[in-house]
Amino acid sequence: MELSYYPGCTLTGSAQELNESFTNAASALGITLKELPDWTCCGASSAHMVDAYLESALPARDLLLAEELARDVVAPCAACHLRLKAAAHRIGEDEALRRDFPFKGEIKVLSGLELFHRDELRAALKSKVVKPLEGLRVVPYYGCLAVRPPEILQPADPENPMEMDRLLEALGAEVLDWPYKTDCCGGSLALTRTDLVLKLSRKLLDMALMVDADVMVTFCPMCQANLDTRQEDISRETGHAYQIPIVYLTELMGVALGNPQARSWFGKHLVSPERILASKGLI
Amino acid sequence: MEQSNMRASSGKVTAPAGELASVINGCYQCGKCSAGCPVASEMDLLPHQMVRLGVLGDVERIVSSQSIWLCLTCHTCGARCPNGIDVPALLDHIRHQVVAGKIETQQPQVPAFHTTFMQNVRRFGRVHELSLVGMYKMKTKTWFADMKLGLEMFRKGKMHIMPKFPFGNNAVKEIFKKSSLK
Ligand code: SF4
Ligand code: SF4
Repeated sequence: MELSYYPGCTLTGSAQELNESFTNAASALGITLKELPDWTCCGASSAHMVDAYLESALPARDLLLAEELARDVVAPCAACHLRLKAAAHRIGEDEALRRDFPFKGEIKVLSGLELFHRDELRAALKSKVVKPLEGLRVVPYYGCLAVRPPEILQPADPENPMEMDRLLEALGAEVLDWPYKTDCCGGSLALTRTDLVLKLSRKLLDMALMVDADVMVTFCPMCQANLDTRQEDISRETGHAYQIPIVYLTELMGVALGNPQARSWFGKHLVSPERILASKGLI
Repeated sequence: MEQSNMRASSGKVTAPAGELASVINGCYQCGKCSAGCPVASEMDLLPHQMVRLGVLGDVERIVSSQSIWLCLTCHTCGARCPNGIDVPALLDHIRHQVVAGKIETQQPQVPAFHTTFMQNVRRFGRVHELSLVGMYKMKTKTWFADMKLGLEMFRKGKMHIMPKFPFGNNAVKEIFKKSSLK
């Protein structure tokens, strides 16, 4: 399978471990990714806050580039994926925008989760596991942008998504039931109201600890950054040591598929999952 | 007698009209949006109150609230509203005018961050995280917040010193010319 690849700014910047683990997992499953030439920023979580035209036009430019190549495009970053999908939706409704960006909707915009969750890929993944994640207790954390707004993303169940659960089961992990799969971590106020974000993130971390999870698993680089980098502040504020690794689903795919590069990705985390994975004999 | 739904905003910010107005007019004040909002406890106007003010056309009260910038755009409200009302869609309509009109608000660091972010995109075509953080700190004079975290991220190779310049840079600049952030 050949797909256009929209890495987005975060994956080429602070979330390199998502970029590397995602492209590795895709190639292990026989997917050829071709980076969209000359892609530009989708506007992320800021464009919609400041200007209606920027909100749609920035991702629309990328949609047009992708459609010229006549290949579906995958955007692993949850924010990029949403912005591209929302722009495609808006182009369908807004004639003036359609004149500027005549995107016809002949290609699909896929999220990373949606891609790997396809029946044939999930089956292929399961058959390629060499190191089942046995005994690893995980909580799947989807965050906001994997399921909302539902009219744009059309999730099977916006309150209780199961795609990541099923993929983690295919990897052999022990998937725990927990109530905060889609609760917001506060990421959009990360630098501007850090105090609030610490509260929201702490709520999630506390619940993960309560169900005795070894790691929290996500696909969203904003959630990962937010939850990983703020544990030191939360520890200082509360006097309890918070040390729960926040790992990408694709990193665990790398571990289960026996990819020797996995260790190098963990070096990018502030709370490294290396110790817990090693103690379970997984790396 | 003046009809409440005909009241126009007194200041520079216009009340919702068209499609947005007809959607929010369906609100029957059940409060489900506020019940599930993760930042409700910090807000001075709750989500259902903002929707009501939007219906009444009293957007000035939203402009001068804390809530307009505390909303995380998590869309929990919109996903649960029995009438399909997404509070951030209403707020974006107001936020755009606040930014375009450079209207003074509470929580000014929030719009400052987002406009800095967009200036970074206009300049480089893609976000360059290090200069974004630097510019934001310069604007808000918060030099020392998160300094340790920043250094740690730098050490881990999460921050790149040099921005990349995609060729699409000029196309992005053209897009900005049609926006309020020219
Ligand atoms: S959930 Fe919808 S109908 Fe209920 S108060 Fe909120 S906006 Fe109004
Ligand atoms: S989108 Fe804003 S108003 Fe709605 S639930 Fe989230 S934070 Fe609250």
